[in-house]
Amino acid sequence: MAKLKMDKTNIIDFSGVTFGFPEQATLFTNLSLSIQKGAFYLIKGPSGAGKTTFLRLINRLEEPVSGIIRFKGKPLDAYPPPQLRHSLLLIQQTPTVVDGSVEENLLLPFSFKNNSHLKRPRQEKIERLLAEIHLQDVRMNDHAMTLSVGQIQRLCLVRGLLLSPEILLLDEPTSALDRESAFAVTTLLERLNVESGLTVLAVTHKKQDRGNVTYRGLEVHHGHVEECP
Amino acid sequence: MKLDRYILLLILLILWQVLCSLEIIPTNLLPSPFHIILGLKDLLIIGMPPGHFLPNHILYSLYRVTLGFLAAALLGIPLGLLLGWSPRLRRITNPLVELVRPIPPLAWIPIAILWFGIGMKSAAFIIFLGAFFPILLNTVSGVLTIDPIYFEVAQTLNAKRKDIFFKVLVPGAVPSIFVGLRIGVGIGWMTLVAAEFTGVRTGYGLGYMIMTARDIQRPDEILAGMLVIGLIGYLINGGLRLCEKKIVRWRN
Repeated sequence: MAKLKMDKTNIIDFSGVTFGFPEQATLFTNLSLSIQKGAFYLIKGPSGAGKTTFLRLINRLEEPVSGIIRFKGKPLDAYPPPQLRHSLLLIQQTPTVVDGSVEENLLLPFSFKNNSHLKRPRQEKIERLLAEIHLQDVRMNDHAMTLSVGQIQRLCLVRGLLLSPEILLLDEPTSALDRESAFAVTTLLERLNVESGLTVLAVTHKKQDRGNVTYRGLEVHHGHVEECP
Repeated sequence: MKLDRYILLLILLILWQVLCSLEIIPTNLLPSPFHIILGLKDLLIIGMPPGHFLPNHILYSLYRVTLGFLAAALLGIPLGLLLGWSPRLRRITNPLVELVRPIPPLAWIPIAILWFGIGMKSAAFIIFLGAFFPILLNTVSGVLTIDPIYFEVAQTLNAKRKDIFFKVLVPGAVPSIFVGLRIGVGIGWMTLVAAEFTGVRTGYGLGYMIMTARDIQRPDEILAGMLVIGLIGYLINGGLRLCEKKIVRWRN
C-alpha cells in the first residue's frame, strides 16, 4: 500500500494557552505547540495530567483561560461550533449509545439538523468499517445496549468515522478492547491515516509496537505538552 | 403463568371465609368473601342505587380519572422536561412546587367545589392534583439522572440544542416518566373515591356508589365496590407497565 505524501502544514496551533478548572490548580501554563496535518499522534502522560482536557480544548468543550488555539490558522472561536465539531471529532472514553438499534445509533448524527447537509453513508461502507474492526457479527437491528462494552466502544468509533472528520480526537479508543480487537482498531486508524490523510490524536496507555505509520508522541505532564519520541 | 404468587392471597381468602362461616368475624361489619361476590352480583344486576348499574359507575369513574390524569400528564411531562432542562427555571419554580405539593388533594375539595361546582370538573380537578405532582417530579428527576456524557456525546456529534432535547433528553427521561405516570394514576385513582364522595351529583361513580351503599347499610356492596376499585387500579398499572415495555425497549 503506497503511502500518500504527507502534508507538513500545521493544522492546530496552541499559542500561550493557559487552562485550569475553577478553584483548582492550573492544568496548562502558557502552552504553545503545533499539530501537523496528516500525522498520527499518541498522547501519553500520567493520570490526571490533562490528556483528556487537552483533547477537549481542541474540541471547544473547554475554553482556555488565556491564549489562542487555531485551526487552519484561524482561532477556534472564529468557526461556528457545528462546523468545527464536524472537522475535529472527539470520541469520548466512555462508550455511549442511545436506546435503539445498532443502525439507529450509527445513523444518529445524521438525524441532527446540523448534519442534514451530510450524505448518509452507504450500507456497504458501514459494513466494511464494522468488519474491519471485527464487528461483522453485529447485526444492524441488534439492540445497541445489549452489546458488550468493547463492541459499543468500536461502534462509537465507526459512528464518528461515518461523519468523515478531518481530525480524530480519541480518548483511550482501545481501553475496553482485547488484544485482537485493539489491533484491528489500530490497523483501521492507520489505514485511514495513510490513505485519507486523517489526522489522529489518540490518548493511550498502551504501547504502540507497530510500524505501518510514523507515530509522533506527545507527553502531557506538569502543565506542559511536549513532543516526545 | 406462575401461580405461586397468588398462594398467600388464596390462603387469606379461605381463612377469612372460614372465620366468617364460624361467626368469629361479625358479618354485618365484615362480610365474607362469598357475600362480597353476591354483593358484586347485586351491583351488576340490581344496581346501587337500584337501576344504577356497576358498569356505568365504572365508566363514569374511569372518565373522571382519565380526564384528570390526562390533564396532569399533558401538563406535568412537558413542564417536568423543561424544569429538568433549565436549572434557572427549576430554581424559580421550586418554592412554589414545594409549597403546593404537600397540600393533600382532598384538602382542595372545598375550593374545587367553589370554583367548579359539584360535578365532573370538580372531581377531575382533584384527580388532576393527585396525579400532577408525581408525574412532574419524576419527569424532572428522570432528566436530572441522565448521565451528562449523553449530552456531551450529542454535542460532539454536532447536535443542536433542539436535537439534544428531543433525541437525548426526552428518551433518557422516559423510564422515569413512566414511574411518574404509574404513581400518578395510582394516586389519581385513590383520590377518585374521595372526590366522588363530595364532588359528584350525577348519580354515577364508584365513590358515589360506595357512599350510597353505606347509607343503606350494605357492607357487602361497599366491599365489592372497593374490590372493583382495587382491580381496576391493578389493571391500569399493568397496562402502563406494558406500554413501558414497548417503549423502553432495551429493558426487555
